[in-house]
Amino acid sequence: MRASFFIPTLALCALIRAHAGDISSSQSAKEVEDIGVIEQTDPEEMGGKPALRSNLQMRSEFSTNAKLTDNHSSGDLIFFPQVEVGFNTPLKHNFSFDIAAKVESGIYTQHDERGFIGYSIISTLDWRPKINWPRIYVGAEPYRYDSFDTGERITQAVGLTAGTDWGYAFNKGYSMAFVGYSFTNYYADPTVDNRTQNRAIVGVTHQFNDRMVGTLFYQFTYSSFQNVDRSDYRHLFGANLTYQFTNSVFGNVATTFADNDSSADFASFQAFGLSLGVTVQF
Amino acid sequence: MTDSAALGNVPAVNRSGRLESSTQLITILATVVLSLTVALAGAAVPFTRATLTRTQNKVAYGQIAGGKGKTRPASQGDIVGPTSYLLTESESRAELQYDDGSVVRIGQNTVFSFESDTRTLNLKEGTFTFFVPRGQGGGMIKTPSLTAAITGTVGKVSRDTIAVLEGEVTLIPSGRKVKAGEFARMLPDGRIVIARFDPAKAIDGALMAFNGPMPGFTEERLLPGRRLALAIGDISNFDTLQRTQNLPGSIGVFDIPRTRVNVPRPPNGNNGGPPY
Repeated sequence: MRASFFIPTLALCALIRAHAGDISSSQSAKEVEDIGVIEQTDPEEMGGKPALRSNLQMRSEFSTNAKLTDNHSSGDLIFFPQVEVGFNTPLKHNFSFDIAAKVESGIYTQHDERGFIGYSIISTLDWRPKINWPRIYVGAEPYRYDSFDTGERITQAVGLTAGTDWGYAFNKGYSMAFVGYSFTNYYADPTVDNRTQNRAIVGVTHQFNDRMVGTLFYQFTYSSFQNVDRSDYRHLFGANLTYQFTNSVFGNVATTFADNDSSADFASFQAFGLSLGVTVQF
Repeated sequence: MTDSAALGNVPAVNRSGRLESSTQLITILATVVLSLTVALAGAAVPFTRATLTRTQNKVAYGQIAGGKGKTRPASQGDIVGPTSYLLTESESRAELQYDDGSVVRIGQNTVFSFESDTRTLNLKEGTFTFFVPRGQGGGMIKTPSLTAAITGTVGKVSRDTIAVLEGEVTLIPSGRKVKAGEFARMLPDGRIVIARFDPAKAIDGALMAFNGPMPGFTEERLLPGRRLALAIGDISNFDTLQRTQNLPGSIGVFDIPRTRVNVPRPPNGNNGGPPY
């Protein structure tokens, strides 16, 4: 938020409220059609109103290394159903808050002992000082995953994250390059999973037409485990294509290649994945 | 210079009669000062001509001759000069591109013209959106209600409103600044107010996408997080897989015989992790 005009605007808004009828739009329907409604907005309402969202996603992915271990013999088709309910609200001074609860599952066609169900809540407070400036955010994500096969808890943790990302549009706005960095500290149970993660991402996304968007990205992740002697360097390359069938139905085809170089030999792996998914938003 | 009489141009003054003459005088003086400043700076490229890069439905090209306006149907590729003007009918729109990269998109039921040396965009009726690149000498906007000096700016204009999407404009004669995210509007009582609009609605309006995204301003620049979220979706999916399959604790769950036999306890752990 621009402090230089935000404060005067507050004062102006107080003045304007007394003349709310005056400043409200006198635009004709044709004008609105061409340039949209131009209306005075209270700073409290800036950026839109709180919005509740929910979506249902089903994704199937073939991975050449479903176990993600050094033994590359676990090619498998995995189904990922997911339900998410989220809430986003703009706050003053260009802050916004988002919270989402998610239930997701991984159902393995062959390695069914690897199946899991997971629960997580992601809350994010972000701030974009000015419209086209980078976004800065902090977040917290408690999560838990249970094994379908044994009912045993696989892992649970709380991840605390701070990060920033920035997108720059070009090609008349049809394309956008983006970069991002985040740091996360995971406090896990079992504590052997305690770790810090540094993530950096760079990519480009392009809008082919009104309905289709494609993305190429590269992400580097450095993970340092605190209670065991293990550190991972992961390179993740990805491409995806999203097609909007209707206002609420999206299709997605994606591919990823991951190269994880770990100081623990069995955790070093390469994996290639190809996935097809459908998301329905409500 | 466009023939104001032929276009029936309304002076850009306060509608309250008592202030009209003085305001008009100040407006003229300010315009002259601004024009001289621009001329002395030597950076301004006159709006000598513009190319009609897109038309939709009924757009007329008007030429002033002998104090009278003569019109004919306009078509894509027409060159519009400073003695010309454009008229659009209902459900009709047009886009003009100037040699310096400036772009003007004209809405329906609009009468639009421009002046060369002062780089002035004139609106008599209707609406337009504009993009004037930085470093090209700026320009002016005149409507029946408002006059403003612009530098590198993207905005929307109607008879009584100038909304700024990028950059800023300076109202004449008051000198008040209207910054990105704000609009100036002349109220029926003659007052000019400046207020903020919701930036999430800046992209609204057919002209913003009439011939592709509005140059200098796009939805993505306003809300880059939307695409960003879409772009990184697959990354979070992969993180989920790695959390459940590849972390020390999860390997301990899936490879129970191996880990239970061989696991030395980590320094502060009692969790049955794998041997590292």
